[in-house]
Amino acid sequence: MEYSQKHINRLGSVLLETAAVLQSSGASTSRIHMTLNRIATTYNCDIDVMFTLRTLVLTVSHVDHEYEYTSAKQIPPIGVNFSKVTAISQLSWRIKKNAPKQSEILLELETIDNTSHHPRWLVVMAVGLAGAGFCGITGGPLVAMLVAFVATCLGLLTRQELHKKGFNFYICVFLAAFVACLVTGGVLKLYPNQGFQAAFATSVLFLIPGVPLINSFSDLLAGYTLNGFARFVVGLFTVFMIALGLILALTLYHI
Amino acid sequence: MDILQLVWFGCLGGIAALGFAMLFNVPKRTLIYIFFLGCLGIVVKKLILFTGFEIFFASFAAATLIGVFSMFVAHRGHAPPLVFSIPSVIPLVPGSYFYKFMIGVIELIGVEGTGFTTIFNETVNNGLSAIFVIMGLSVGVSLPNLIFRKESFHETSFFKMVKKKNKQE
Repeated sequence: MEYSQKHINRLGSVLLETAAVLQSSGASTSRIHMTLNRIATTYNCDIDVMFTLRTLVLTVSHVDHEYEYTSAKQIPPIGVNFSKVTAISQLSWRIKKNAPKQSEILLELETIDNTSHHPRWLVVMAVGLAGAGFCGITGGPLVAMLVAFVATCLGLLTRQELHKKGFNFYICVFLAAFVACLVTGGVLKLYPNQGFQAAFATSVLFLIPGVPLINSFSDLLAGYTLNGFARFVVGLFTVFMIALGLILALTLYHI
Repeated sequence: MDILQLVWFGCLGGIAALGFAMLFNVPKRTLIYIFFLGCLGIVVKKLILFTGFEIFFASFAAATLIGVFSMFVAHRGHAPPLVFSIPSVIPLVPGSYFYKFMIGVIELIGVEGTGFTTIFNETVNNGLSAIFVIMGLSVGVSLPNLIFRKESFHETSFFKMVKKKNKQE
C-alpha cells in the first residue's frame, strides 16, 4: 500500500473520532488504547496517545517515521451508550481484517454515532422495574416495591427532562434524587413501620454512577492512574449529589 | 433459606440488571445474557452470605464471578465484556447500608451527649461497609479482564508463541 502525508492525516482523524465516541459512551481507557492500536497497526502505523477525560492528544507516525500527524480533540461529556462501544469494537475487528479506505471508516463512524436509543417509555419502565427489583432484594414488601417503581420512574423522567434543558449533570442528579425521595419519603411519613424504608433507600439507586466507578478501578489497575482518579472523583461527586438530594428530602419530612 | 426465596431474589436481581442494561442502551441481543448474569450475581451473594461470610467477601466473590462469566459470554454475544458485566453487577450495590449511613449522619448533626457514641459507631460501620463493598465490586469485575486477557485471546503471548512454533516446523 502506498503512503503519503494525506493518508496519515486521515488515519489520525479516524483514530481521534473513534476514541472520542468510545470515551464518551463509557469505555475504559485500556479498551480505547487497545482499539486505537488495533486500527493503527492495520495501516502500519504507531500511535502515542495522551488520555485525559475531556481531551485527547494523539500522534500517528508511519513505522519508518517518514510521515507524522499530531492533533488534539475535545471529548463531549459522558452519556453511557454500550451499543456504540459494541459497534466500534466490531468495526475495529472488521478494519483489522479488510483494511478499508479511511473515508469509508469515517462514514461508518458517523452512522455509529447516530445510532438510536431504545424507546424512551421502555427505558423508563425498565428502570422503574429495576428500582422495584432493588427494593425487593433489600427486603421490601410488594407495596414498597410499587412505591419504589413509581419513585424511580418519576426520578428518571426528571433527570431526562433536565438533561434535555441542558442543565449541569450534577444538578440533574441532585434534583432527580430529590424528586424520587420526595415520593418515597411522603409515603414513609404517612405509613411508618410498614417496610417503606426499603423503598426510600432503593429509589435513588438508578442514579448510582456504576460506569465511572467500575471504569475508574479498571483504569487504576491497568496503570492509567490519572484517568482512573479523574473517573473516581466523578463517581464520588455523583454519589455526593445523590446523598444531598436524599438529605434534603429527609430534612423536609423530618424523618 | 428456602429455594423459592432464592429464585425470587435471583429474578429480582435479573430484572434490576435489565433495567440498567436498558439505561446504558446495550444491544438487544445481549439482554438475555445480562438477565442471567444479574440472577447469578444475587444468588451467589445470598448463598455466600448464608454460609456466614461477611458482605464484603460475598459481593467481591459474586462480582468476580460475573467478571469471569461475562468474558465467556462476550464471545457468544458479540460484544465487549464490559457491556455484560457492568449492568449485571449493579444490583449488588449495597443501597441499604448507604441509606443507613446517610440517616446516621443526619442524626449525628442533631444529637448531643450520651447517644453520640453509639450512633457514631453505627454510622461509621455502615459507611465503611458501603464504601468497601462498592470498591470490592469494582475491583472484582475488572480483575478477570486483567488476569485472563491482555488484548484478546488471539493476541496473548502464549497464542503467538504456539503459532510461531508451528510456522517454524
